[in-house]
Amino acid sequence: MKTMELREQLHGFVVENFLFGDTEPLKSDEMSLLDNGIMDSVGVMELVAFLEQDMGLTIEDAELVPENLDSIANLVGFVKRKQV
Amino acid sequence: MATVHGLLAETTLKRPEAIALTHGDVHVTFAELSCKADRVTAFLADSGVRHGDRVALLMENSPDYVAAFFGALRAGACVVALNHANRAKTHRELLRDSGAVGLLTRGREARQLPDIIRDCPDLRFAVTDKRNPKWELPATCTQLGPDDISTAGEPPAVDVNADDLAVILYTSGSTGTPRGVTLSHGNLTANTEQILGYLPLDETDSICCVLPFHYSFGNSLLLTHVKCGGRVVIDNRFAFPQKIIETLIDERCTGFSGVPSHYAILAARTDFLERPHEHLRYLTQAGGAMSPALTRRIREALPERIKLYVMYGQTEASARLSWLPPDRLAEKYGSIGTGIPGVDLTVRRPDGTECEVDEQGEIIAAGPNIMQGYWNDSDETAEVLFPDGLHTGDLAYRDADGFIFIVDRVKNMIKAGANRVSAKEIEETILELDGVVEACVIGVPDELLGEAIEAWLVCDGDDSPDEQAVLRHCLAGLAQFKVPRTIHFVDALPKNSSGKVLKAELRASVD
Repeated sequence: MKTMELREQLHGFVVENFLFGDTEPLKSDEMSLLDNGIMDSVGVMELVAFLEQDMGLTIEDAELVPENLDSIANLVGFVKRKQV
Repeated sequence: MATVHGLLAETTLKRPEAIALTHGDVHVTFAELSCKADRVTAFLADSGVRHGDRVALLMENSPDYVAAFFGALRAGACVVALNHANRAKTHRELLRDSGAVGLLTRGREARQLPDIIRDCPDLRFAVTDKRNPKWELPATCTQLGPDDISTAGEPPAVDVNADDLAVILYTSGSTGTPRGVTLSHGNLTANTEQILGYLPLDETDSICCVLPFHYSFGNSLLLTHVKCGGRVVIDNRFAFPQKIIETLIDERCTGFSGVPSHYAILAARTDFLERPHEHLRYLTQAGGAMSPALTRRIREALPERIKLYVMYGQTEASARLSWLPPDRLAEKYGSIGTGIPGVDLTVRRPDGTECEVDEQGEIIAAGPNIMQGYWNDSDETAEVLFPDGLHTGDLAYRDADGFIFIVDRVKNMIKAGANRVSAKEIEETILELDGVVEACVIGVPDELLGEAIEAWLVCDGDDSPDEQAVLRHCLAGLAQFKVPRTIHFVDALPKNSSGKVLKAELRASVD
């Protein structure tokens, strides 16, 4: 999948599930989803379920870290690395 | 007389150089914590805070929170501990309701400051670590920075006694409006002693604390460890649960405390149950019923020397009411145990007489830890505080050994994660939307959260909002944990002959 398509898919999931369609709070791909109150600890679990069930990834417990999951940019990078 | 800040003063005298708090790479000794708290006391006194005034704290767990908490108490103030997960609108309502004269905030919580403190006529000052030159603050409110605290003079001696209010903790009420649980210094120090009566802690203990201090369970972790000279290891990163495992191990924590969803996540998404946990001595669980299956799994997976304490409590009881001794856990899965030392916990009929074995009734609690009442709400207070004690609203029975098992809640509340959520508050928020005619919110069983929130809506066909619109509206006005997981659109709600919605029928339809 191309980076832009992947970005749109992940962005879409976050907007749809955590912001219910309102893109305004998501001001940049680099902003922290946790620090900005967009995603909480249960949200992280939902995000992981999406990555595993809908995107077919297998995610190790040790990979559940902010460097992989806490922004759109981090998510895109993480998923691309996993798909290599 | 026993005061909450007296706990810190006593331990500081005995163990000044011991570490009281660890937060990341920051370690704070009891002496340093007392010194920081003294600065807050002096600052508040200089700012005109007087005995009995309310001072609100809006910050994540941090050494700054703890210093502000003890400092405000020493100044004679009553701390209003705000839940940072709430939205600005709720903070504003609670600041107004409590009549707080000052607000201490920091970090990301401070970003919405102008919106939070708008129309709070009693508020005279706000302290934040960020100053935004663009902010337009009310003329009545002075914004101060942390330097204003660090340069404050000597703290004055303020006469505070056990009967004085120490905290107001807001909790959801069945009416939909948050209620301020008022706890005195005597309530909190009594419950601290009571907890240490069954949970043996000493100066060698370190608790890994993921529970917010504004929550009574988190507050009780702080106070018990300050009292016994132990250490609180603060970690606010539970969203990335493997980080918590690293903290448990790297910091050689002897204890961990959580609500059922914490344990469900740790078991599902970390190697928590596979680790040897050389230093871990005990776990405590409260904040709602954990499934017997998960309780059993944790107990059987971890080494036997790690004791699992299942407990029960309410904010109205300072925190703790019951405990299940770990050595009885295997034979009493599903029980909340018996009253903790100093608490009289009984199951009673509506006429006040005690129920027989296996007979269902309401849990009634009496003891020095029971709250003073709800802030400025004598009507709601009169509904739960009676001469025989606190009527908890929990329906239960006791077995032949005296162990209590909760069956249901008497009141219309949802327990989602650690949070007690008012169905009515969510229903009222949804009903603000044009096109929604009726709304009914229920909790349904959920493996992760205990209960998940579902909303059932009857809409006007021509002007009906879609699911996303309803959820967006909820998110704008409610904390994230109060936003329903599922929305059902129906033609009509099931009702009895007097028009009351039959929530049990909706729950059954989900099952």
